[in-house]
Amino acid sequence: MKNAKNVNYLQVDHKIKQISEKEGVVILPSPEAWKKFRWSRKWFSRNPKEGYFIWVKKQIDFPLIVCITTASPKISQNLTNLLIIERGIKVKANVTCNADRNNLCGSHRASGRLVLKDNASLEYNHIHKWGEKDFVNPEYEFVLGKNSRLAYNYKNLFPPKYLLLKTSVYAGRNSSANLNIVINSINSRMKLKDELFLKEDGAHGLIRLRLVGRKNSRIDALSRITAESEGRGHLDCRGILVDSNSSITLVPKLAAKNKNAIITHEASIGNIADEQLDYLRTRGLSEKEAIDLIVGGFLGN
Amino acid sequence: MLKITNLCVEADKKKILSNVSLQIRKGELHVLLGPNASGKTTLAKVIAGLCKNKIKKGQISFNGKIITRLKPEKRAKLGIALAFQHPPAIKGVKFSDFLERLSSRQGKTNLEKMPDFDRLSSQQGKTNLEKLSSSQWETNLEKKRKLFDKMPDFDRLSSQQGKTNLEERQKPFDRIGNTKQYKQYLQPQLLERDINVKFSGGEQKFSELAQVFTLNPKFAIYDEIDSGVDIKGLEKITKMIKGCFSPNNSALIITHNGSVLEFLKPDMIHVLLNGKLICSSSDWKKVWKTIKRYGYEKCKECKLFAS
Repeated sequence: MKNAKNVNYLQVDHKIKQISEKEGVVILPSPEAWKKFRWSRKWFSRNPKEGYFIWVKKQIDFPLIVCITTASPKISQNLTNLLIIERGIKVKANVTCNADRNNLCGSHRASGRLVLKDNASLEYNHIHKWGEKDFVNPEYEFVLGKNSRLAYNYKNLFPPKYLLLKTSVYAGRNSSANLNIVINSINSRMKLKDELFLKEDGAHGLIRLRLVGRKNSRIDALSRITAESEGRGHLDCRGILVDSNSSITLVPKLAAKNKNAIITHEASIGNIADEQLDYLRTRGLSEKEAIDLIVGGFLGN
Repeated sequence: MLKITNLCVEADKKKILSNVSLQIRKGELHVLLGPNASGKTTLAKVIAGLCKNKIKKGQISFNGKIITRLKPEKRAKLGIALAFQHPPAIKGVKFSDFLERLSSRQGKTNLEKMPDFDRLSSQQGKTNLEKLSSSQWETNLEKKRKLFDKMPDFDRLSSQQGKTNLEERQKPFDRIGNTKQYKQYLQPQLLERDINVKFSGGEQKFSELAQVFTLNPKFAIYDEIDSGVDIKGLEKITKMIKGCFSPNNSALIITHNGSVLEFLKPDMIHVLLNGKLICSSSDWKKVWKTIKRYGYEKCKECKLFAS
């Protein structure tokens, strides 16, 4: 791992290579936190074997950087992570999960819970870069307190062979959640499940899904917003199929349990228009370069 | 430079172009006229390398090389560029990034595109009044005036953008080539937007021109570059085309507008009717007069010019 000196938590395979604690932030391996802080047990989804525990107690002026890497062949990570942000604190976290090499056949499972207490704010940038034979299964839960703000950006630069991505957000009173999930699929099978629960009045959120089915890939995505109170939510799911041997299934679901809730959705799957390709080709771009440019624009790169 | 021989194009078993032959030499500016749906845009696209599967007969050669079956990107590299009549929108791709990419493909580095700050500062260094004699002062003033003329029209830019920061205003232009003539006509805000996304008719045309000029082509086709543009905009566009035209390149302009002809004074004018090139003449005034008075149908019967 290059330039790792600024990383707050660095784990390679099962070994924690670096923990860099700063003032106002407690960073521990999850099993240690489980023992040290009894209160944390109610937040951990299970008794952790590995993973990170980060507790932000005071306002910090730097982004939290977490790196989880697989470097050995056929390694199987099973992480239990917990991030807690205290009241009124604004945090930016850059979390990278990656495989050191392309052919490790590794497995990466992560079960995480991220808790934003009242008036807290979190921008969570989650970047994945995997080898072509890896199995990846992250399941994250966000618990949003009163007036808290969440911006969750997931992006996979290199897709694994299998990806099961589950994201759930429980939004409290007047909280807001903005989920931006960008999936680029090549030779892979992907199942995505995103759920936003508007638990209390004034909660609002947006799920924005951008999927690209490139060569020999299959994506099944289920996005759901459930309004249990007077909240507002919107689902925006869009897919582009670049290859004829690929498929995308989008299932947007809305469920309202309160008569004053307003939830909407839009979903579309399409191909790249020949007109766009032709246009870029007359500017000297090859067909592949033109597809890359259009897909890059679609994914918001 | 460009030679088209007996070109026949069909789509859905319908003839769009039949036996079109056209030759455009280096340094020549040609104009193509014709009523709607006469095949003008198809001809432009076929030259640029699009719809090539629809070519049933004929040959296109460019600088002696046969390009009839060549891919559009290869033709672009040879120096053919097309300004689209209705360009498609490309969401998420910033116009300035795209222009920068096109510019970098032309083999220019960012450094080359930056303003010559050394030259600017050396000019400024000579303004020390105590060291100057009156003649020196005059010369220096003249130099400064010339330098000022080369600067962009900042007042105009600032009224458009409402920004006061000089660097901020200069920034988008620096990225796409400071010496480009079109920059004074392009609104900086346009560069920060996605390509053709929600561009007005006029903005689309300026965007197309900017792209074509960035490609620095040997042969450019402007497909109805004047449509949907107001009078001032039309003046700017014709100035831009004229300004970027040199004896080393040539152009084909598709238009319906007589004032464009008057300003550009083309070397040749062609009339396309029902897919056939019925008239080619160097006397554009007479052709335009005939069309204006009698319409395209009469033009077909015209004994003077009918081939």
